[in-house]
Amino acid sequence: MQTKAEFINYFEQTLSPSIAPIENIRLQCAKYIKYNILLFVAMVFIVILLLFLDWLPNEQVVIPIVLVVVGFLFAIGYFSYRLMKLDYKKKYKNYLVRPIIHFVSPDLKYFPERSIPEGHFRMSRIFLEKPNIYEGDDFVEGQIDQTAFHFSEVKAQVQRSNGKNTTTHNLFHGLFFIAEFNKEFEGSTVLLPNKIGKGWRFLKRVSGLNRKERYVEMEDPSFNKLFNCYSVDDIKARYILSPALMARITNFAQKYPKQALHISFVNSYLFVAIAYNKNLFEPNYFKSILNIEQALQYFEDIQFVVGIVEDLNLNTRIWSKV
Amino acid sequence: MDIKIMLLVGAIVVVFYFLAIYNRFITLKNQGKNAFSNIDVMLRKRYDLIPNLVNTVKGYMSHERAVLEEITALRNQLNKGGLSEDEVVDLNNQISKAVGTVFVAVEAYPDLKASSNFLHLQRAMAEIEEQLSASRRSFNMAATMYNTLLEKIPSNIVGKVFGFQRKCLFQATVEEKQMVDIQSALKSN
Repeated sequence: MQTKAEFINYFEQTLSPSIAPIENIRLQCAKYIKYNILLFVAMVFIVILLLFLDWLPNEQVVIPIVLVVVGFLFAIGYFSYRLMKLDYKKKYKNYLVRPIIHFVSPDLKYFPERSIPEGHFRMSRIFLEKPNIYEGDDFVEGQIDQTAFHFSEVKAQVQRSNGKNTTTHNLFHGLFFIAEFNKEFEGSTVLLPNKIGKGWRFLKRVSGLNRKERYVEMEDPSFNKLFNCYSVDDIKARYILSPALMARITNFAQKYPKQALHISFVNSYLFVAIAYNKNLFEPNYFKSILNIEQALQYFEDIQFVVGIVEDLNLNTRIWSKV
Repeated sequence: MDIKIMLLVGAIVVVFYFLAIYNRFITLKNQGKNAFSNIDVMLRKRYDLIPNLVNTVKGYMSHERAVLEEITALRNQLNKGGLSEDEVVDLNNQISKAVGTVFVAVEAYPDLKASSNFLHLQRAMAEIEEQLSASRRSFNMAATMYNTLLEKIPSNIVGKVFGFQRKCLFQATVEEKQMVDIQSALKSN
């Protein structure tokens, strides 16, 4: 694993000079945004003037002409901004995000526009509701030793209606990670963040009544403090979650206390959903691309996800699965 | 509220509470039984693998002949049948310990360690041990909860009334103890 100091050195020596030309596109984008805002304000102001002041001669002809001209100018500005934004976003991902991903591991493959398929998201059995809106991007795939994995940003939303109004709720927003697990098994075991607290077995059992997995009390108190385990079979749950793996998961969750972790093990696959309350790997037009803070954050986010393979020791293949 | 109604409601609550405790005893007992039958399946799988293991390693391991003989003897004891739950638990612990000794001793025989037959056996044994460990942990968890119910007030009254007996736990094997060490090491980091 690369260190933070190595990344800072890489950013300053290699990455920064190569992304410097893209900074001009960002500045132009920012200018276009300001220009559009000004144009929009001007348009509103003109419309108000035309509607409320009664001094124009031949106003039935002049008002529509003025409106069309201003609208046309606004449309030109808006579409130019959209084109430039697209161009900048593409370059941002290819010249900044991609090298950072390759810096973490040269074997990783990055597809900015792809995402984890909805079928895989649902297969994890972490979130049982079917999302009405499902989108994602920034798909990364790779292999560390014998463990193949992939992840992407995912935004899944559900729409709920009370008869009169329909509201949209976030089911999940963050990074969704899938890897081959190092043991062969069938069925599902799901680890959900423990929001109930220590003890309260009855409540934990009741809160899992909507799923086919049942609450399984594990032996590790620190693990139970962080996660509630639900599984189709308590022996299978213990086969998957060996004492060592429970300690590793606990350690991993304690290392990143800000991130709400949902983990599941389904048919020999490991799924990890890491919730974020921000869009990941997206450009900020009012912040310089040469600012190291943003790049450092990306480096840490990617390393955190890729680190799952090592942190959970997925390359230990001493059981029947080769 | 009428005192009679209050007493009646109180009695119903107590009856339901005791019924719930009784059902909890039965659930834990069955969970333990299920884990135990799974242990039995795994023991049989291991039982089938033991002759292979002994045959593979005996040509190499001249100094560990006693351990190999012990494994064979333990296997034969399992085959006798008519064993109580506690006897099976005890035999299981002894076999795990003896097989563990063989795998540790292999380190001194590089030729054996590299043989594909042995590697395959080692993988199969590790798989069975992992499954056994999971079943043992499941059994122990159910037995601990069951024993706790037997000791706690007022569930101990239900336990005594229905004659529930304490359950014996499986001992931790060397590997499991090592895992506990990993856990404490991780915590200290």
